[in-house]
Amino acid sequence: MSEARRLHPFTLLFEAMRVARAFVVPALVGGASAGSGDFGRMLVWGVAFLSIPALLAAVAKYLTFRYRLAGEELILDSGVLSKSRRVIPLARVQNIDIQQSALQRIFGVAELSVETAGGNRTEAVLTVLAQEEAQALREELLAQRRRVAGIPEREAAPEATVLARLSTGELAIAGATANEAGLVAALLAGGLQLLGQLRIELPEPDIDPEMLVPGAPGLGIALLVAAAIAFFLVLAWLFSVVGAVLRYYGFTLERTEDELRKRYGLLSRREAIVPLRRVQAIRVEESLLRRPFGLATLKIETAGAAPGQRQRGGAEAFLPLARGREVPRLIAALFGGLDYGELRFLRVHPRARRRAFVRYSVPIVVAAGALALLRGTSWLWLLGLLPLAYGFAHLHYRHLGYAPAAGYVVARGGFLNRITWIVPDRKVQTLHVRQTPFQRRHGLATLVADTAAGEARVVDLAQNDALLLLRELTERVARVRQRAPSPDSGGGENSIHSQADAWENGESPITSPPNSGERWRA
Amino acid sequence: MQSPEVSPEAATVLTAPEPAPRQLDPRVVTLWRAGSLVSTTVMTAVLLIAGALLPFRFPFGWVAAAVATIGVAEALFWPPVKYRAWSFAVRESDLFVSHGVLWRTTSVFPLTRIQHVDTRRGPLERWLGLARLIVYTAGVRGADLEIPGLALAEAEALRDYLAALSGGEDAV
Repeated sequence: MSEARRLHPFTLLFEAMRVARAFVVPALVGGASAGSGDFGRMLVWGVAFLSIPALLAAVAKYLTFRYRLAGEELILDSGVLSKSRRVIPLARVQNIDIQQSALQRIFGVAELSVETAGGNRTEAVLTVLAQEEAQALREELLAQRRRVAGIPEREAAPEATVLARLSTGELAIAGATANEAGLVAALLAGGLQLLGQLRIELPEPDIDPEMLVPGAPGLGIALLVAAAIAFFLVLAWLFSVVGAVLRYYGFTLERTEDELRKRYGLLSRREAIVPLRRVQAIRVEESLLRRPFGLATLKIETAGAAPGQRQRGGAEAFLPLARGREVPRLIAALFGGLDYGELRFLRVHPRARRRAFVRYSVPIVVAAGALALLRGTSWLWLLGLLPLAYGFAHLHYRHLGYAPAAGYVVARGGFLNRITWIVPDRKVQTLHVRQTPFQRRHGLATLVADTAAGEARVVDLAQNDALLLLRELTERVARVRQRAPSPDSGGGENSIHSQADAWENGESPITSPPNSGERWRA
Repeated sequence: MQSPEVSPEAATVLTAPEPAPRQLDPRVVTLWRAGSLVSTTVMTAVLLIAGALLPFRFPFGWVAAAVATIGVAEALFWPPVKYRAWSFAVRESDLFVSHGVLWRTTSVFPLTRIQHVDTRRGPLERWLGLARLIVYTAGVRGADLEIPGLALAEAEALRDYLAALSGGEDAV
């Protein structure tokens, strides 16, 4: 395909709807609520004045926008007065994503976006393409990319193995156990605000708190408050369940020779393709709610914005819900030679617990002190939180750790949402050992293995162990680079295995050096 | 039961950069002093002008005096401490850097991961004959390294050496 093409003519329709959403609807609502008369007429004219140029601009944009695939590049031309040309070398393409909103599905069109490592935004978005065109263009981009990278061409369609499928029931479980802390907090805040109003209105005429719990009006109000909070929590929870089912409906994760493909969505459908060698890190997230059921979320970090995100940052769920015993198989499918099930996690230094305790108790003590100064009484109960803080500090410490693994940096942390980071040696960009003044006082340090997307960090290692691990990893990273001279062997399947084999035959990865002191078994 | 604690000096030995770690050019102490004196002067001047112009009952004079005292003390005592904490080494396959007085960082930048290298000079640096070396990688956090206070010739030599080593390879 070398001739320049336009987007699908429906672009105009969608642009018109976008303009309508931006101007006309708010204007109508505003006009209706402001009443008719001169003001209403002014509003209509104002909207016309603003929306007609916007519509014309959309038409001009549609007429001038061209895309074409030329040799090793995807070229986008746009611009009415000042022409701009964006050239995207296919060798730099990270992910390709096809997305369809419910409306786009009705019209049989789709949006295709291309990510590269460089930018912090999606590099190219072809907003409205005919569905078949989007699919064909994607396959062509992938084929070209492979040709550019020197990977032998395939005759037939790529053979895909299904790694995982999620049933509606499983999605409901995923939603029910999702750690939607933000949503819950927002609803809680809303609930509390409502309560603020309730307290003003309620006690006098409507409900007599005495009726709820005779003799204890305070308790009556507290019960009402609790009921309201519970109501909002249940509502949030139901939304979470329904949301997960709608969003991930029919979730299918497939692996071809060198790509990861996933499809999902009930109303808006999405198909994302991630080249395997672009995966920088895997994150295994096990929230407090999911741990008892042995469930986890798997996420992958790729350089460039995650599919479907306009902004870079944050990992993309590659599987919203995985049963614990399937996790090792899924990780091995991406990171060959790593047996997640066999990893032995080592604890960090026990003084991590003391640091965490100090961190949690400082605000408590400060608050108690402030209360004591201001009111003289009723501050002692705050100090009763200190044992609780110690308990949390202990849990925090128990969930920190790292695991020695051949060719991978594996770190873990977090009690409420336990996250395990897995970074292959070959994706490590830089290595750091960091110490805050507090860590220095305790002889602790944090080891960080940074990649082009996301990092693995082992917090509060003994300083000595952190430095030894740094040296160990430095050597490993240097060796990986020497062993992988060609640009593409950095991640192809074969090189993963040969590297893992070499590790098994050669030296063990994190050997306990004689002077590293005792290690703490998890 | 706990690992023996190690001093920063011992730490440097532990991680063993084979070529002895290098220090910055001693003139960087002058650079840092001049820099913090300039900012102290600006802050003091702003406070004094505010005190003269604004109709508030606020002890601008005292605050200005405090800022000036702290700023001058910092300019006198802090840069040598900072200087002693800085060391770096260009090793066979990586760039090793250790710096920071309160917040210490020891970093390894593998040479194959370097995307590009810059030298930069501000007016003060030009006056002192110094330059900064900035090394970029594709990492997300702590990805870019800035080595301040190198003699111009050294900075340029390092830049060319590192730039030659960082191949045109797609390192992501």
